[in-house]
Amino acid sequence: MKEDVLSILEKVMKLSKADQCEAHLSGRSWGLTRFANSYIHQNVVEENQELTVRVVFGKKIGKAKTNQLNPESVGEVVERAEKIARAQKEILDFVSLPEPNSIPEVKGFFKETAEVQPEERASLVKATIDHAEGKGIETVSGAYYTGKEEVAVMNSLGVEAYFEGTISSFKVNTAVEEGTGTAQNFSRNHKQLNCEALTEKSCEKALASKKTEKVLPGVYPVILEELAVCEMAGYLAFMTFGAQAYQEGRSAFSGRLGEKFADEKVSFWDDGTNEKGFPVPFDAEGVGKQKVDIMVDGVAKTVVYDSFYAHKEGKKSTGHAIDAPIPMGAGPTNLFMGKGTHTLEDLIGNCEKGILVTRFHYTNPMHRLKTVITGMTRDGTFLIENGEIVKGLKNLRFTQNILEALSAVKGVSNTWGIVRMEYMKASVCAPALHVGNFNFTGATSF
Amino acid sequence: MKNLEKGLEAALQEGADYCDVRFVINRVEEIRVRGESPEKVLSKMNQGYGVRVLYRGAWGFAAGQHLEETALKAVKVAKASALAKKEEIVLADVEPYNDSWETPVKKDPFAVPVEEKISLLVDCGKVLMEPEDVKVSQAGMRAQEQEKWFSSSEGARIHQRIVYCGGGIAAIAIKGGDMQRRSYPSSFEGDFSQQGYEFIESLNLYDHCQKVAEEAVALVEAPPCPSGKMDIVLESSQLALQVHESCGHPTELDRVLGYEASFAGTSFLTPEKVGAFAYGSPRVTIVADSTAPGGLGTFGYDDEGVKACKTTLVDKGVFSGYLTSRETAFQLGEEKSNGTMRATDFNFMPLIRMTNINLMPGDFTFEELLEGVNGVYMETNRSWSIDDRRVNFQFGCESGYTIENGELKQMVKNPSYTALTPEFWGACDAVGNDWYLWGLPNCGKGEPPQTMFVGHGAAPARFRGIQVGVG
Repeated sequence: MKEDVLSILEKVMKLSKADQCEAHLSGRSWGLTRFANSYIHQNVVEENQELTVRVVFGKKIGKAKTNQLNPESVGEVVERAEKIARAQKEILDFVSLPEPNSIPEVKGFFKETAEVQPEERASLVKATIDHAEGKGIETVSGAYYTGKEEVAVMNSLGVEAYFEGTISSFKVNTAVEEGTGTAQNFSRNHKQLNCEALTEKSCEKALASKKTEKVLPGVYPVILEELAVCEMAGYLAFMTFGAQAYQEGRSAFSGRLGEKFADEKVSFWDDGTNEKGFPVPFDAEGVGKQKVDIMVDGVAKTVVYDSFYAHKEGKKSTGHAIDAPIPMGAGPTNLFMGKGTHTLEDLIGNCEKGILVTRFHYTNPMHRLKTVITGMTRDGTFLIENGEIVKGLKNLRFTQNILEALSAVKGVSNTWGIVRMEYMKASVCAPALHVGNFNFTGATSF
Repeated sequence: MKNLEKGLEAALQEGADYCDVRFVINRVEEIRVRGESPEKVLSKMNQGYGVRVLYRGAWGFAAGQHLEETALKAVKVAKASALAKKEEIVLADVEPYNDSWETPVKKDPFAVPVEEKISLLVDCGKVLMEPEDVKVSQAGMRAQEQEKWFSSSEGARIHQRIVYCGGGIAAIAIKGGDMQRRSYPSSFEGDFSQQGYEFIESLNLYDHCQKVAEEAVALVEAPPCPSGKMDIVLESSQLALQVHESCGHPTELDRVLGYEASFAGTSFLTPEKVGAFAYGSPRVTIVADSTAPGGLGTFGYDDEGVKACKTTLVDKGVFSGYLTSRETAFQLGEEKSNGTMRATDFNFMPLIRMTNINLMPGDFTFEELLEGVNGVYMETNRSWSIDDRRVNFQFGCESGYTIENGELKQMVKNPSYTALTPEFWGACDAVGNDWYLWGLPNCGKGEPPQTMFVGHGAAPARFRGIQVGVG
């Protein structure tokens, strides 16, 4: 409850003797049902909250966390943060915690999603398995989760923010002989997941890629479906769009804002209020979200900031602080890549010869400054000839400079897929792309 | 021994056929310095109950702060799972131990003043940042204590206190449109061990700063690594990750049986291959050993109460066994689990996790490994990627040196290699005798994602005719 949460944060403010103090509470109550080999093999529910206290003495900062919210534990975590701060060395670039600011209204809570019971998730899983097996699928696997999250931030300068939202996701993988398919969706409203349609799509993919053939590695035109583009966009954002990497010279944008990096059909923005993604109205420091145009028509416009890196440039935070396990500065948390005008079928139809990629697997950066990543294709890789899908292919390894791929974009779909990373509380919405040149550097045996 | 009986009783009264309860208390201290300035100094404590039940052969798990309430929720979830079951889950037998185990610690890492730790890392930062072309440096250390109690309806009562710590340094040089990173003692937070602060002291982080910074700068200026099929020698921390990705994960029996199919994938090491498949050359023997002193995957008992043990996964090149749980061992027809079930914290259901997956040492000195080789020596992982059955992989390393007629020559940047797992291990014709047990604190698996601490023993090794460069 909002009042209960805010009263805990108020207690932190009262107890702290620091020059500045910030309290952040993040809580989650949710259930996840995983299925494989056509039965439920993991079914979990969890309730947990975490209180983070950050205190500042001059330019010395300490931080402590606890998941115990009784009065004694709240007092103990404040003491622990202050003890660290007193032992700290000065962080010379630190200026201040954020001042109070305007926080937008965001709709992200759906009562029915918050109240989904384990029996409902199990029933849907059973229906999914039955549906897929009825289509001739041999093994069905996936995950379905629903629940609610709440986050609140308060600081001694007057910041006060609270948000309660719901979360849901459905993913289904299907396998038959040497063919696999996948489909997934994420939404704050579980009724918008369209699980039946996702199951149908996954089955179609698996059945279509049933007889996979090998193709030699090389440079090919590709149609990257939305899931693949979401992953690629997420890596680009992680390596390039944050102020820390920008200021340190580790971002491809470093010292090069205003330059053209991609085709004119390519634009990126972050908008914490956009309900098509996973909106949250404020960041981990309680700074209100806003739309930030990061790349417009292929031209780099800006990066995103938290208060620390904004103050280093004499700017205000754009509301992109992240409380990640590994500090990485600010980052987009509700990222969008602009849509085009084509349907996916148009993109395929306009491709004389190329490869259709459903999704990537185990992608990782090879060279962050040059935005080079490598990974595998998975769950539906197809050969396109004369604008039509002609056969399924064995999976391929790619090694590709992302910005070079985005410079070779020939078409953009009018659809968005979405991928949400729960542990980062970040999501990416991206269209499918037709890319003129994509570098496949290896092949696997299936 | 903490009394968890009320949780067991509540679950059994509600109809559970089996129940286990874990109560876990975690304490973490993390210090990170960026450049010469502290970036993150964090103290974290959390605790809670995790209850796992079987109801008519179906799993339920719940996590929370109130024991009986959490146990009842777990049964409710298991009853839901039973709606979509095909066959009843059966667990392989385990002796119900009543025991206690803890990490031997000489110097409690939490008792060392935080001022001392911050000063050490800031001093490291000063040296790392000395060269003009080093634009970013990182120095960090982390200590974790996990105290946990396990009780099962079969009678197990186990208490364990696991302590590990470690750290590392890195310098990032940026010049002329290139960026190169050099780390010590290995990448991704450094090296970790199940010991006290004496382990961090043994790393001598400060003494390595100058070399790390100089090598980062040298890498920016270095020529690119040659490409093509050639012989390679891998340094042991890179080989540790190679073992992790291409042997550790594919021998997890839950993956093999399809439980991770929709997320991390499956495995090429299917059950009919046990005892019959040439995984590698006769030089390659790989074991899972949860008893290895100091290993991050060392414990007294896993989170199903199975006693720590040693299992051979690859025996002189022949694939010979899996990492198992009580459920998957039964499915495979094994009498017992080999004890690899671990949960990251109280709020996660245990999964099959790597323990210490060790490539056993050979008898070659480093000079003997290089003897007669024309190729590349690569050290310290920079990137990794492998397909969803763990066959095709590609690794990038921080640093490389050409090997000419058996001698290390020119430093080269962006070294990488790619191969198919059985072909790669089949090309291993020599394993070194300089064996070291590395600690990796960040192995990811499962949904929701669980980050686990695992160990990998490895020595430098030689591989013939490997594709260097991206192919």
